[in-house]
Amino acid sequence: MVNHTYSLLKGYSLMFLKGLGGSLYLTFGALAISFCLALVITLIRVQNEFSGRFRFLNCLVGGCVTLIRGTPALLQLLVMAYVVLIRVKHAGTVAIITFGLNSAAYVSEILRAGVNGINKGQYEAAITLGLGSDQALRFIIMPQVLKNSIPALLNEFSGLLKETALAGSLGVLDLTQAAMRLRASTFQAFTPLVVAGALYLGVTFVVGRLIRQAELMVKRRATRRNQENVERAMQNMSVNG
Amino acid sequence: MVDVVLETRDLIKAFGSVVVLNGINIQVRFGECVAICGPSGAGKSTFFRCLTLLETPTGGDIIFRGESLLAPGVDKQQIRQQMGVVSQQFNLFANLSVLENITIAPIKVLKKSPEEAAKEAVELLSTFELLDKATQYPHQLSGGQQQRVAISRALAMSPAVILFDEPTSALDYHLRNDVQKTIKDLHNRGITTIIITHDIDLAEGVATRILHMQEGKLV
Ligand SMILES: Nc1ncnc2c1ncn2[C@@H]1O[C@H](COP(=O)(O)OP(=O)(O)OP(=O)(O)O)[C@@H](O)[C@H]1O
Ligand SMILES: [Mg+2]
Repeated sequence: MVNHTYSLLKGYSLMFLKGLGGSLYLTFGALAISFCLALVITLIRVQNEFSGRFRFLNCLVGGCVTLIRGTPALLQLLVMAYVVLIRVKHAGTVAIITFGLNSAAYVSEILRAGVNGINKGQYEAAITLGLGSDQALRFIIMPQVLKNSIPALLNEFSGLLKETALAGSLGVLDLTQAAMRLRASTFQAFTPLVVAGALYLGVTFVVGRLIRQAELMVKRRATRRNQENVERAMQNMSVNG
Repeated sequence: MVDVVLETRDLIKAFGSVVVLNGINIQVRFGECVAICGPSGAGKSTFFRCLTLLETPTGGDIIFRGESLLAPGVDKQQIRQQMGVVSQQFNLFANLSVLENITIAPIKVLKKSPEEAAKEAVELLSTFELLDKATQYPHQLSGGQQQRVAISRALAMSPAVILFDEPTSALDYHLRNDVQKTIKDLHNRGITTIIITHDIDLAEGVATRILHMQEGKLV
């Protein structure tokens, strides 16, 4: 009896681990694509807005973003799997690419809202000091945009994590799919779903915590660097008169 | 004519069919402190933005140190380095400390070493009595302190001329007097300044020459 329960539990947790691994793999894979792409999209749009460059690219990108945001993710997944990426045999790869593109549209809008939240005056101040438009974006605008966008990006992360459940329809083993399979094999209607839910929640919570820690660390490091720079400069000043 | 730093010739700026600047002629000589006064809507800020190349004039010419700024192929970045700008909202970089606000352009544009840039920044900060604020961030400063940081930031590039847009409009009475003193100091140090303001008292207090702008013209 004990043995039986033990083996059941072992099979149970192994399945959940695999499912969780699948979900995380999809989410982080998609996020990597999404973030890089969104950064490029945002730079194109912002450059266009601030300095009028890249007009054509800007229109193109705007169209793609509208298309992606205006259609269901499930539909996009099916189109990718059965039409666009029909030659890609690995369902997980198809899902990562699709979610990556899908999320890039949303992340780029998050970043754009972030850019709009920063007054154009700082950009103008930077270029009137002689910085190039690229330098102004890189050193002044984008760091603020990223920092201000962290809550919305975290939101996007948890959305994406849950959205990856759609990949189950391509037969990818993710957390939701794992719960479904366990329901079928153990004849327990409820428990697998609750466990899956708790795991989703746990991941979102832990990632949120980690990001907050990272923010604090960055802040502390900046403070320390500032202090050191000022102290060194003041020493230099007193040495040289 | 060598001592003319900045000059405009029949400068015109229109937004669509609205003509905001209607032929501005001005010559600013080395060491001068010129104030341009005028009522709201006269086109002062637009003029300021044209001088700093944030707007492209519709017609006329701007000559800076003997070179036309509107000639094709002009290196705007090169020109901007030589003009200090202190705008009405100060526009300090919110993600950088006071020290970094001042050192970023010398480091990235003039390619100075961080140590050298920091040393010069600290010297500027001590002249403006801001040394204790060096590690702070712009949102931790008062309006007057922010403005002095903005002035230090401009001075760190050793510009040929400094332009102020409405330097006193955001400040209370005491800070206003501080600013007047600061600008006077700059003038005494031989720095050419152009002040755009509707504060006549300020203009009379600091300027060597006062010009009035009305409906896009100097009168
Ligand atoms: N980007 C723009 N597009 C269209 N019209 C503009 C633009 N910028 C300024 N104007 C117009 O130009 C005129 C002059 O504006 P400007 O800001 O230069 O005035 P100002 O003298 O600085 O006034 P204030 O003292 O209120 O700051 C105004 O009628 C304004 O509506
Ligand atoms: Mg104005």
